[in-house]
Amino acid sequence: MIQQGHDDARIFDQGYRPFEGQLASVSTRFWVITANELRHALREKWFRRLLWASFMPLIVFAVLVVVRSRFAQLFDNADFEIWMPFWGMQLFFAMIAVFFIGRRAIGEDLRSRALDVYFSRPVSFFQYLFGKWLAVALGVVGVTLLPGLVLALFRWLAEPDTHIADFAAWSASFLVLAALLALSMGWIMLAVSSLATRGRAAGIVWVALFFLSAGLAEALVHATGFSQFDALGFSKSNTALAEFLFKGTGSIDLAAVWIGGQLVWAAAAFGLVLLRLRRWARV
Amino acid sequence: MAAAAYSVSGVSKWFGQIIAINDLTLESNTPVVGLLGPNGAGKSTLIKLLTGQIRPSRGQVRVFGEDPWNNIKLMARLGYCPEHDRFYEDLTVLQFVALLTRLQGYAPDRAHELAQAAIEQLELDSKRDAPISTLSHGMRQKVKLAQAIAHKPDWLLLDEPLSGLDPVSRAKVIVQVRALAESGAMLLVSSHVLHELQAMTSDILLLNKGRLVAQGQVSEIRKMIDAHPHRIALSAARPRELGRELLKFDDVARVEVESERIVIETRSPDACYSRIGELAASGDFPIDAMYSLDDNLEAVFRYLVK
Repeated sequence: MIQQGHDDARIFDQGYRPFEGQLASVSTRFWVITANELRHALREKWFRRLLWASFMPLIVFAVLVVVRSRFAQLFDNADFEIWMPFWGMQLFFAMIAVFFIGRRAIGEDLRSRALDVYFSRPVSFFQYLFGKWLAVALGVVGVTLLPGLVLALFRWLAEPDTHIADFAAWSASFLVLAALLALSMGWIMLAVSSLATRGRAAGIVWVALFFLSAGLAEALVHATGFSQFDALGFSKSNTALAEFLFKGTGSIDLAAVWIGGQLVWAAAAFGLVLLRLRRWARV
Repeated sequence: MAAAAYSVSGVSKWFGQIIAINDLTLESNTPVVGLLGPNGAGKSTLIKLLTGQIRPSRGQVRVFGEDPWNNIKLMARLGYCPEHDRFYEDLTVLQFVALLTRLQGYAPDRAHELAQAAIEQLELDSKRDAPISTLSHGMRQKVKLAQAIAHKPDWLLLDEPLSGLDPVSRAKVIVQVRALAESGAMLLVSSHVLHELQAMTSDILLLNKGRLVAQGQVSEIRKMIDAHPHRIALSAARPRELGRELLKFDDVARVEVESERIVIETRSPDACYSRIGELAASGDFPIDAMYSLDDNLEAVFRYLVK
């Protein structure tokens, strides 16, 4: 708005003027939340160190692969199995990564009442939840799937007797395992974070849950002899599934139980999050 | 008359067994409105209903002709400044304001520019890169305002923006809110202190126990308040004798004698204070303490709700 004055002088309107340009699609707002969570976690020195450390097993096993392929005669009859110990280590790193990214994810928002601010913005409840989960999931994927794929690629290139089909099978296995891990670990951590508003308490509960659920599952399998009980531990069922995928241990029925176990953990945790945040669940 | 910018029709909101908003009906087209009410009056609940954060248990809310509940498109047009000021303590002021501006849908660079402009507008430049945890209460209030105005909303809803501020910060925030209003922003400001709201706007909505008590110009509401007797409490050694003496004054409408104090009602508080002062100075009726029972908003509401 311009007001015409004397001698062509103009007074320009300094009034309030809403933005009329193009805004990003509403459906991608979750990414702002994810990026903020990851940025937050990356500010922690120990998390950055963890990320570096999570690639150490990759280096160790890559060296083993090279040594074995160069000095094959030394390993003639030895059972060369790298995937299970490798996955076991990455699982442990995933647990710590989830601890760093997720322990304050929802609890901090509840404690600081940031949810009121979030939900006064054009952000839907499920975008908020998805954004939070995606941050944890990317952490899990970053320390499990990524090094796994790199090692699978390296093994395929370094070992003369492996083929692209082997690489594809390993990659697919890593993809399934990491996806299940991201689902179960991600939602469990978010549920814990929403129930224990203090980050430290949530972190302790998360680590306890990780080990206790695995320990309980292990104990029940030993006591009863039924491998189905592995499903009671989200990490244990993932390891059992990894054994099935990489070593062929177990049956397809058992694999379905282990997958189901992780999905039930994820669903139950998601339900808990919904219950805890029902006040903001705009459905 | 143009359609109301916002309207609330027969709205009630329960939280469990507690009723926060009780069959409230109002509509307004006034650009700058003060929402006045004591703690627990339902001000924050009403603001959350208007910003679509909560859904009414009963009734209908309309903002710019639309239902605000879960209305993402409408939310983009609103700026909300919450009452509390505890956010992400380790984010800097700029990071915090930019984060919330990005949630409005702006690209990172544009969000950064808008956040920077809002920070400058609220004279927070010197604290731009300071973590929120290091800020004083007054500064945090400004950060709240900055995040609410950064995306240039059509309607700003400020929930107790002056709460807990020292007098200097209070005056500064009032100036800034008035500047926003003068620049053309549509505003709804809540407070439980009448004179604070009066400094920002002359149009107010009075809320008490979830009900609308009065709506209109401050001057009109003041007149209504002044028409009611003012209550003064006196602590004296001989309350009965003092009460008898005070009843002789024409402007004393009523005297209540309690164990160690008396409460008088007057329609001319200034004249009455003056007379009591003279009485105390005479030494005939020693008065230990004198205080108004009507300086708080509760008293005003008591009168208006009667």
